[in-house]
Amino acid sequence: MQTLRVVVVLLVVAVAMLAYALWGRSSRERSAALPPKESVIPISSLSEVKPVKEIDLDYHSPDLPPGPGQDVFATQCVICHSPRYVLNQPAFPRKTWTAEVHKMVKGYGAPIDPLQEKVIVDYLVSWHGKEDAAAQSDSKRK
Amino acid sequence: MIHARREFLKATGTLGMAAFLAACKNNSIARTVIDAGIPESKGVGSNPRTWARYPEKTDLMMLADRPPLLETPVRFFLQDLTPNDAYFVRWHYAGLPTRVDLRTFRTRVIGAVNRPLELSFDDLRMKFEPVTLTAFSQCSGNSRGFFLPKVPGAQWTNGAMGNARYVGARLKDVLNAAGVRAGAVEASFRGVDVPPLQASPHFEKPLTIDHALNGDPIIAYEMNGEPLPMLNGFPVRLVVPGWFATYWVKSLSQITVRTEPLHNFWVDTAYRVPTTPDYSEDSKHPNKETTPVTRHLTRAVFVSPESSAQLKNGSQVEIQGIAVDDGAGIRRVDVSTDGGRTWADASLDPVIDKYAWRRWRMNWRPTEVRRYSLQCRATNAAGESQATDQWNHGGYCRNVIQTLDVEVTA
Repeated sequence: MQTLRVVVVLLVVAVAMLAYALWGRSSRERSAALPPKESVIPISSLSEVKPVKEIDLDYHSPDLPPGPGQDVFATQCVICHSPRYVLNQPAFPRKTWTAEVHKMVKGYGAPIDPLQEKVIVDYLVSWHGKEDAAAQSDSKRK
Repeated sequence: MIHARREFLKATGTLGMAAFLAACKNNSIARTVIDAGIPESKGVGSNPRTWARYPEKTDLMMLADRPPLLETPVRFFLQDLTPNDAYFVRWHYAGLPTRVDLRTFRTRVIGAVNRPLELSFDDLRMKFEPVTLTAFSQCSGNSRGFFLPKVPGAQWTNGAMGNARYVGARLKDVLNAAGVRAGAVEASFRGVDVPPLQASPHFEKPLTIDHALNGDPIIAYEMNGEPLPMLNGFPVRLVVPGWFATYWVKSLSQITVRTEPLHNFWVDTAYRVPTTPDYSEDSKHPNKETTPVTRHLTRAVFVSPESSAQLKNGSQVEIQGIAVDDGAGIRRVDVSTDGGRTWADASLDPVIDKYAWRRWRMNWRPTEVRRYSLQCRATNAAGESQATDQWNHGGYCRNVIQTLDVEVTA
């Protein structure tokens, strides 16, 4: 009976020591495996990705100033992109706007005939551009 | 009722444009849009920035709304990983995906392969070894707004970039599962976004077959521990470490292995730079020879202070930024506080990953009340550094030494 009690006590002590050693090792390993840089980054196994993702895209189109050609711009350009694409551009010289509008036809297949191209360029230059001559004298003054 | 109907007809009939714009506006994100002028910085002065909040996104600078172009404010680059909700957005066409059903979404591998594949989101996650990497990406036109003379295109400042951690399947493993046939020269990549017109060229970009098989590119299904935001390419996007984001095809739905190189508008006309050092050319005599945009050029960018900062004379300030290259590795960043006359070594933070950006820092104590011109310049392991002058007609691959003017007050 006495020996059994000693054996049980020894066993309990041994198990406790083993558990302590293992716990210490695993926590040491954990900190060694994760450098401080990485430890702040949550790692997800993405186990719960919903099967359907849907977003609602609203637009925030600016009003463009009225003027000759605004109607052609509205029908031919706005099919593909917001007027904001123009608003975000610097006030380019006629030469640059001409090339841009032509790129829409040649590169992107915009259904704009040559006459309409001219009307659109005129419209853009009228409120968001400058004539080539003015642009040139601008740069000369600089 | 009749009155309202008449009004409607009048509006749509005679005032088509106004009605269209009004409809857009009423239906718009105006409730979350704050118009705010951002302090003028060199070259981008004339355009006030507009802020907008898009789905799964925080307030970002809206360069355009349809298709959306959203720029990340510089302060987010104080974090090593750019949060998903702050990551920049750029789509070519308004026909971007707004709804994806993973039960039907497939990434197809077709063309010169032995076994054409149709891979679901779960196939990509379960059937291929997951790879984790942190990589920097930037729009080819990042910082375009600073080019002088100005060039057409999105007038980005420095926020069309980000650094994120991705998990995905190696492109190599996916291509090997399909079995690339002898004679293949390229693999090309398409997403589910569709052109607005029949005649518009579908967005598709190629990599050489050697690049596609070199183990670097991955098909990412996880970004910073989350599914990708829809606007950044949910459910899977191609990640091409060290290369410009034009190759990081979003919502990747089709991989075509080709025995002839792909020729389309996106390869032959757009995204091309002159074949000169630093991709630089004379604005009056543009270079005739051009080559596609590919790898990131070596570059350092200021993160803090920002140009609007008011610095106190005599107080120490930490100048901080990030530096990027094509993966060779940033070796040095020099900082000048006197407009480029003298330079001092910045200290480099530890490497995050081969293709991630590298953070650099330098303490500085201004000693005079005036405007200071700060500059930063990176050099990589291949000896590539930055020039003081650069211009090209597309406004691409800007890596000229950045100048940041800051005001020091008493």
